[in-house]
Amino acid sequence: MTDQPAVELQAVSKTFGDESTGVRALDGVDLALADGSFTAIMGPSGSGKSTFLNCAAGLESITSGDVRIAGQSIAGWDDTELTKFRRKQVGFVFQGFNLIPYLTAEQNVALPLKLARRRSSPRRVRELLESVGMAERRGHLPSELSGGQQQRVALARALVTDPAVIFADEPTGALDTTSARAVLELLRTSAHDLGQTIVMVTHDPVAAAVADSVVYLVDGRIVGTMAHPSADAVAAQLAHLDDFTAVAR
Amino acid sequence: MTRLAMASLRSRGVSLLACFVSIFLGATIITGFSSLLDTASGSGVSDADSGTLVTMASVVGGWGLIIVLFAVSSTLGITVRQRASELALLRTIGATNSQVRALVRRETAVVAVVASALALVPGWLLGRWILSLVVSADMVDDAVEHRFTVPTMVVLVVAMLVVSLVAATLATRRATSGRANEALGGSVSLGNRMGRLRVVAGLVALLIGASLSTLTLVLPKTDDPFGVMMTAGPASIFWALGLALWSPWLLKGFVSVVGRPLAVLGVPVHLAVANARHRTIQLSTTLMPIIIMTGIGTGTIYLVAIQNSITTHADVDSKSIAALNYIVIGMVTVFAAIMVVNTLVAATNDRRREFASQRLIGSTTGDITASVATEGALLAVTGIVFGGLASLGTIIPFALVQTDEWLPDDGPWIFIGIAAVAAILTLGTSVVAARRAVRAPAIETVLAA
Repeated sequence: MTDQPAVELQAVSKTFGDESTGVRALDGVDLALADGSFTAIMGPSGSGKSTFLNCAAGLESITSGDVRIAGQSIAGWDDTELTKFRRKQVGFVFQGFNLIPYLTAEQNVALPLKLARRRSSPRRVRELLESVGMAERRGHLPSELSGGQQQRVALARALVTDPAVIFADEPTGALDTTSARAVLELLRTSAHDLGQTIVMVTHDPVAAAVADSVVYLVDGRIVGTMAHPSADAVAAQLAHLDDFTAVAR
Repeated sequence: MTRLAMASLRSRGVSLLACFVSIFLGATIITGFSSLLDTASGSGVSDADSGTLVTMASVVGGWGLIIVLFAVSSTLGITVRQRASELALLRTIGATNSQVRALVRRETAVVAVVASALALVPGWLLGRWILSLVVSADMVDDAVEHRFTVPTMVVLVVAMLVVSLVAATLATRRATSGRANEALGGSVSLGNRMGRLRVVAGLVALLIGASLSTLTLVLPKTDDPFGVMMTAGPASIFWALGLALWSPWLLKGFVSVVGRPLAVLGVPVHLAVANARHRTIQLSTTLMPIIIMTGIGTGTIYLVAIQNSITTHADVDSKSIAALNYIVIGMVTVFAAIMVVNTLVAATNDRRREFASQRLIGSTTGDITASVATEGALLAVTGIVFGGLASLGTIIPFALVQTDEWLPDDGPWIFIGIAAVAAILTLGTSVVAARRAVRAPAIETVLAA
């Protein structure tokens, strides 16, 4: 671990459409996430959660400001440069799992290494599958796995390149309560035991409570943070986001 | 969202266009040969002439009808499958299965009536041209006049309508089976298991092909130079049909032989091989027309070439036989090309989400295009190899009987030409479809699902 933040957003703004008349999805967001931290981003629909994630991960260009991942500014890079950067430094976990349907669990996990033209060590792939409890099913195709199992394979795939940060977008949104709890537990152990930085966008207070801290986003602005959250406290805070907005204005 | 809606409309337009073109071309050919039936029943046509015309119209027109049925049900099947989640959405908001089927049937009916009505004029011209060929070959009397009557036109349009409606009903049956919310998920279908009917049909076609090849060799030679053609010509058609039906096995075998050595060439090849191995049934929809086009095209053109080489002076008779053969080949090739393009575009569009996932974990758009192109190459090579083998079912027996040699003197250039057309079509479509599929930002595609 270093003192340098894993992810840093400086005065990031994102406007869709015309500068003056368009929609401001992000409005001067400043945020630094320490290496090995597990942060949940919360906010009502339309608060800019998804835009935040896309901009922080370099999937969408920003209108102004700067985004740094592992100390490197990625603002203004073209698609191929960003893709090559993502291979090494960014992992993704999505609500819809997004495994490649014709590759086995093991091949799916090894794929990012192959793409980065790095030697894919079968041992590392197996250890990761073991750590997410999927070692026995490593030869199965995604269609032969349950949603929870697919999401655990997706997490192993995100971890395999040892990225600077993993972005998770509603990772438990499509799962039943038991599978969701297992996936959240794995995210937490990844952060605490492996020192993996994780940013998770969610609107589920139970999911957010697993994180070390919660950042609240309203109308594209950060309106508050909560350290050591509990599900009840997160839910209570969500119910009173209007107060935040009033203060911010 | 607007961009996504436009993309959906565009792909719908392409698949409806494919359906329209299949019906239009099919109706043109069937109209052309049906007008020969009208001509045969005209006043003052001798019984012999009438017999010749009816035989020709039935044989060539019959093949045309089979190809059209195959092509229309294939293109419609793809159109419906692309709309699976839209149709499932209709069901979740209260549409019954029969309402969904009726919707698709009505759309198809409109396309079928417009396409077959527009085909009447080119079909009429085609009929006149075929008659002029037949007349110049002295197969019928000069005095026979081309006829095309209104009742026949009505029967034709109604017949094309019925064929398309049958195809639509078959195509929607799968889309409306199962629970609506499952269909909404729109999971990508994987499949390697061939249905029993398909295995048996393939076996039957191969047995017919084998017996036609054998008959060509053992039947006593008659004075009629075209007698041998009657068994040798269809042989490669049945060989090609049988191999096409068994193409999932052929693809799997081919990929398992070349897959491992090829996979060292990089990630795109690794992905292409894995996809081809697990999706043989889906990929065979593209492979089938390649095998059929290569098999029938190569077999028939060499057949004509061998026949011409033994006829010292190319008489008018063999010229018009050649012309008829070329019509059949042209027909098969055009339909095969439509099906190759249509199935490849549909399969690639279906994979937009998967491509987006690949990009998020670090594939460049170039990697994805390379991977799809590799799949296209695997399909083209498999199709050309087995299509070429099917054509030997016609070429070897016919060459042995007519020239006492195993292969014709014309050399491999005809086959190489046909193979090049098949390869360019498959690879070109793969690359263009892949480029289109990765044009939208990856994140929008992943989240839109």
